[in-house]
Amino acid sequence: MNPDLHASVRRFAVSCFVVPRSVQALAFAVPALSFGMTFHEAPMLRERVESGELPPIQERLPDNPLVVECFERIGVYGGEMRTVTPIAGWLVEEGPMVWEPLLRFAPDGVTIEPNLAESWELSDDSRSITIRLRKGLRWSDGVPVTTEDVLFAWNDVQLNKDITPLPPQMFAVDGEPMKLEVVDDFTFRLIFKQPYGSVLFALIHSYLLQSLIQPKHYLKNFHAAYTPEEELVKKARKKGFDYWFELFRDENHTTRRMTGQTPPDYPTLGAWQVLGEPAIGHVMLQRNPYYWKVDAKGQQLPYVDSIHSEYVGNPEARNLKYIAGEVDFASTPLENAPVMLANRKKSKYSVRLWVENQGTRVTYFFNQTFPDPELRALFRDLRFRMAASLAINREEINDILYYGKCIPRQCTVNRACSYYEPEFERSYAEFDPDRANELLDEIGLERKGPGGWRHFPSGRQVILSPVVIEGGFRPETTELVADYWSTLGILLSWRVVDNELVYTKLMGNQLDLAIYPGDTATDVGMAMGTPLQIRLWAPLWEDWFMSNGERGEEPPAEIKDLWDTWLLMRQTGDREERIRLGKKLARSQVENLYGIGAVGGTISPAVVTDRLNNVPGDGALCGWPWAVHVIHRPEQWFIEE
Amino acid sequence: MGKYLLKRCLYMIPVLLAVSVLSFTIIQLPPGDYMTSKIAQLQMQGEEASLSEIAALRSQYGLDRPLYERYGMWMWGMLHGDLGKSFIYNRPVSTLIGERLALTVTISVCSILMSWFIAIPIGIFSAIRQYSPLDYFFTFVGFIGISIPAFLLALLLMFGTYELFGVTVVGLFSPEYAVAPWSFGKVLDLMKHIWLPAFIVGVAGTAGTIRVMRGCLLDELGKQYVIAARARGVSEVKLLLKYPVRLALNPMLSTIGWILPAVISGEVIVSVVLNLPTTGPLLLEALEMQDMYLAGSFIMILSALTVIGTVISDLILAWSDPRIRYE
Repeated sequence: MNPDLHASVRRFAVSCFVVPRSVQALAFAVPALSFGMTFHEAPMLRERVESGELPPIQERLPDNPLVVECFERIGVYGGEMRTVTPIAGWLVEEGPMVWEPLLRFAPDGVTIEPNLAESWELSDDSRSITIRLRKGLRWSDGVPVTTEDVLFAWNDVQLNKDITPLPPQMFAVDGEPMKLEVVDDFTFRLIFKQPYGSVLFALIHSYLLQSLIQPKHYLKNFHAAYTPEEELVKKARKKGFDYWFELFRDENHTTRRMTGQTPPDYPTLGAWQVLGEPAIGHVMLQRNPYYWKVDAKGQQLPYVDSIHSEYVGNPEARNLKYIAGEVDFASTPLENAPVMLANRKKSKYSVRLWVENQGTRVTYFFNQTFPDPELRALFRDLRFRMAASLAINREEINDILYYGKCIPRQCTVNRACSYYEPEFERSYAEFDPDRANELLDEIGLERKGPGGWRHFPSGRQVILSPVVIEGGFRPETTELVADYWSTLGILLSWRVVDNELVYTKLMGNQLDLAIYPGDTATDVGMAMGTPLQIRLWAPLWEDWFMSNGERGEEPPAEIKDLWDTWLLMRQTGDREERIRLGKKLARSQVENLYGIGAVGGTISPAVVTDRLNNVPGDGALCGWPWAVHVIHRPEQWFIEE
Repeated sequence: MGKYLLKRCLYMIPVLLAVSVLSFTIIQLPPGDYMTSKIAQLQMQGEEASLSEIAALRSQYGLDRPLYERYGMWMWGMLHGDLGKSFIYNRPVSTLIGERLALTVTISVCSILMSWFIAIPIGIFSAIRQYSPLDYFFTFVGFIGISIPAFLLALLLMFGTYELFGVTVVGLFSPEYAVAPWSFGKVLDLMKHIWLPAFIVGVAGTAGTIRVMRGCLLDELGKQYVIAARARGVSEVKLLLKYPVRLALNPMLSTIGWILPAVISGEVIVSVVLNLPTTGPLLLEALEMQDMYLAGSFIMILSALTVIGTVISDLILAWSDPRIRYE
């Protein structure tokens, strides 16, 4: 047989059996196709259609609206959801309820589903991904969404050095931003210089920071490429700015901002849009008539008509409102759980025990690039970290602080993560103070003096002085840990300081011991940011990597290997390979104990009034970067008295 | 008198200048700036910050310029009536303070009036019936009032009213009226809610005023002229009110000027606990987040009012007590 023909037959045969990725992507879209459905809308919108204010429902929905499965049952329209926000001028709901990502997670926190994008196809070499938007998708003011908006967002906003001084990092590989190619009105392609399999995570995760879809029709009025600059400078001066791009930044609310909140009438793609602030501290949101999701019966979502968000700065005042049943949905810290549970029957609400996605809530990271040479050498000694971990009585911490309901474990990926192995949790997690003391004796830290505290060979006492941020059980856990380590002869002189001060010290490499949640515990958490939160346990090594060797300190070979493994894990488009590399990273963490944790699977109680339905029950996953509400689908929550 | 007034006004200028430098510097003293505060706050909420926006805003708001330049920009704006923009809210400082001013002043005036109308009669009574059982009773209550911190009292009362009456006194309005436009019903609702902050803030002040009134009046009542007047047959009430009470009010009048800034800033901690939409919480948020224009401008306003208030105090004192005169 002709050798070329032979080769092509073989290729064809192979392609029949290896399922291409585009089909995989379609497999998620198939259950969601809604051909042949009749659509219904909320009564308040139907009124506006009848008065001629809005076009009919068929014209407002895209050709292929996303069909959302309800958690409990199909809902009814109507009602106003009451929430509170703890920070002034900052709508907690804005993230989850006003913006939408291109792709999102299923409730299991691992499977990736279409959202704004109808389908996607990652190329075989993982260097490019083709994304198809829903045809007929519209902004909340009725203007159609097309790839013009994507092109504008990328070329005119993200790549514009005046508006965005730093290049967008989630869409750059090896420091080089991606290329964006428009295929047609609804299809576009992202092209990277190197393979970037984790781009899927970026498409889920980045919407709040580097949105790829921005309302061109609205924002071009503030952009010098579309409006004469003199006109813009005049508008800018009136607002107190000097440059057109400062005005642009002020007017652009397509991301989570550092100042102010989204104004009313700003075009959005979320279920609700900001209506205004009728009284100080009260923000109203109302349903978006062009929202592009429906339920299984063709009813346009969301069910809830409006949201009333009140600013309540004082935590006790918030607690009072929760126990009075005045807030329909709120997350509250675990320490409040008993009070919340005690009042639930009387005030008609339930407390859902959701599970946080962190590996361990309070994690101790010894700074291996700390300026002091003796402490640094000690922190770099694995035996010291092993001892520190073995001395912690995790069962006791769980019983005292977490009501015995969470999981005593080592800091590692959580059980839902693809990289999880049961033995990771148990690594150095047993309570063995004798062995810990032996290890410290081996290192050469002698006990001296009346207290029996350990000293360096130079005679100096081993004292650690971490600064602790209030809340999240950090001070309480540290108090217990200080107790445990005192049996080892290590003095932990800790104090609570303001959150901002800790952040500043961290940035300045002044923390000997960083106390933070163990965040790299999920597939997406491991891929984003930096490997294993290296900033917390080796700021100077991270500097070295980020500056390509110009700043910081050169790390040892195994850390360079760690970084390379992480890069490869992010790049590969092959799921099996990604899992293999992810497990290698996770194993490295539990063998080397960069972060030492005590209790994971921590519970985050959510107060939900009885009239609010379709909210996930106990055991549901929550926390960034799963973007809690995107998993919990607030668009399908409904109110029924 | 006119020359005296002019001199006092001229003295105000260097004082205010010094206050502006001091307050601006102190606000910037903690390491970092608004951006680092906001980043830290976002981290606590479990969210991330956009590095690009941080860099952009830092330069846009001049946070990367040296301290004296930022001070100069701020002072220049103030002299033109521009108090600057708040980072937290992204709105002008004057608007933010202005929209809260009416409610703040209402609550402050209510608490002050309540405090005086209760404290002065009780103080007088305590003095004339010294060591009587009622005097001991009022003294006891007074000391409790001074020793319980206002915010603790606020928390206890908030919880107490909920447990006993099932009403949450969070904020100044009931949920139905909170976002509704002003109406007679809304005013009534405000009256129903305003007693709690007025009472709490008033109580602390009441106790102090009672003790001061009592002490000063006792001093006066022991003096020769009182005995002489009594001997001449002047009625007790007239005796009491014509001179001794007027003189006992001196300490209060001399500090009345400080009421002016207190009225504007409201009681901060109690307002935070009760979640009142007043200027007090605004100042606290601004200081916590290093929102330099909001905090700085607010403190300047309060300082200006304090200085002006002190001048007014001195004038009132001079008018009420003929013994005090200035060259």
